[in-house]
Amino acid sequence: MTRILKLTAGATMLMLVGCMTWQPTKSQAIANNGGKYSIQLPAGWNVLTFGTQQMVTRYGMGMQQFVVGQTKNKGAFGFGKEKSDASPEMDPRDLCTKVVANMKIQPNHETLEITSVAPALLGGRAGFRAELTSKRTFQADGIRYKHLLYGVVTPNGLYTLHYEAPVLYYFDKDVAEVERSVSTFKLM
Amino acid sequence: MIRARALSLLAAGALACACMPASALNEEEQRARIIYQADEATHVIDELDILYTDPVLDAYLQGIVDKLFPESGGKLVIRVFKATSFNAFAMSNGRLYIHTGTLLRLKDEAELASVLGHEGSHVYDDHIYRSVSSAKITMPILTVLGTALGAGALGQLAGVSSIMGMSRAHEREADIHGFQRLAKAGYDTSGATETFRRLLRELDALNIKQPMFFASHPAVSDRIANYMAMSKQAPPGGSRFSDEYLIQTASARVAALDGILREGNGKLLVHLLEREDLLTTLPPFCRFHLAEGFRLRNAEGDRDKALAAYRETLTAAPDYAPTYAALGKRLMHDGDKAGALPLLRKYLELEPDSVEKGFIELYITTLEKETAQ
Repeated sequence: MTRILKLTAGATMLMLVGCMTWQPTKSQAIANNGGKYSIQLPAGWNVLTFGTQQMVTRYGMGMQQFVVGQTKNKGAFGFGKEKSDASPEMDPRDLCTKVVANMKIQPNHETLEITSVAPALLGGRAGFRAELTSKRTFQADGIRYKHLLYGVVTPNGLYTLHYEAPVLYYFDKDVAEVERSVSTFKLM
Repeated sequence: MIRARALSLLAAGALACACMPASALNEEEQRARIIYQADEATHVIDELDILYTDPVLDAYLQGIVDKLFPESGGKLVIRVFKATSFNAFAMSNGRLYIHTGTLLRLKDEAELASVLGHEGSHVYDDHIYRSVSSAKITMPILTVLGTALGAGALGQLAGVSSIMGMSRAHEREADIHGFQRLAKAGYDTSGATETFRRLLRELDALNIKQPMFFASHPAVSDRIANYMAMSKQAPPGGSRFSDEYLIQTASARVAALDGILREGNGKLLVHLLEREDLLTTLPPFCRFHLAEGFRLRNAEGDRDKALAAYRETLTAAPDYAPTYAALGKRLMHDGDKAGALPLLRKYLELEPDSVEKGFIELYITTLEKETAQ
């Protein structure tokens, strides 16, 4: 998860200095060799790839985003002295709890609540599919967001696919495209 | 780490905002600015859905504040923050906030009154203005930010420090005046000592170094000594109102306990429920939280302790659904399929709309197949 934070910080810096490396997504599956996965991202969106992480958005980060990524199992959860590892033997339900707890450490995700969690196959392996809600805490506007989160652990790492957008208008508009993209996710 | 840095930057921004060109403003302007900032923070807090909203609890707490500060006339308003840390804080506009986590840790009204007396005294003694004017304050805004942004590193740090977040002189003054109000309102003054003893035990148990933002901060142990000295001179007796406190705060205390569980802090759950013996002050189903505490802490012997605590919860609170799911999953992972199956079925019977229904159904189907073979 620390990688996601670094990624967000890096992307923000790039946007601030005007050094954009966003690319339009292609209409075919793209392999991420470092992360050992491939996925066909929603066509016509914009993607920023940082190593094993891909940030994808249609309207702009913060407004709506889909982040696909792989992190190493070692130290995948927590931070500092409290770090713990992910493992392929983890029960997907427990995995979901850990992934969400990790996400809650991030700004704007403190209020994340799981509204449903169910088993799901991700790249042919047993993982989870969770729906969550949150309320932005950074500003006083408190915009409500909805999240769709998939997760699975393999010996190659922890894979998460996380789509988030405001409940009002945006989430429902693109969730079907995201689900289609998730169905193309393959482990290499 | 990055988040902690980001929060530090935010806090630094808030600090700069609070301390900036104080000398350029006269007293009236400076006071107006401090009140404005407090009102803004109050507005943010109200908007963010981070308050524990229970009008009956608010009224109960307000009654204690009014008893401690009878001259207040509505100047001090108390609200409850949805946060699991041991904290309370005051703002210059007279808003007092107490965390659900503090209500959980306290055992009676005398202990609660000692916290509220202390925080209210910060307002009455004008500590916030005095600190800003001498450019020493960081706590009110930093604490609001830290807490509102979650229970991360800064949140925890700020959480503890706003109970002891000002200069040594101001904290001591608030301790003395809060203590005097406690005694005058007829409370058992030993409540104040016990509150800080409890804080110290928690810091020790969780291996948290006492926060020292400034060299002048009084240590918790010093403050315990001060309270003990004051208690010796206070008239004996006084009320504790334990039953009334436990009834009025029951829901908020359970909410705090649920919050600690959601945060996955097994060490804290075990410390509070076992070592601090809070279980005796909570509904019987809270033994489940102790079981989960053992499971999450996962120290030597904790697996067996968790199992025993789950089973005790089934007896003490047979209608509490989460125990069936947790024990069922535990038995399933331990290979006791026949033992797990009825528990998971019972869970879905009690909690048909559970958020994890999909998983439980999958477990049941799998176990049914395996036990049939």
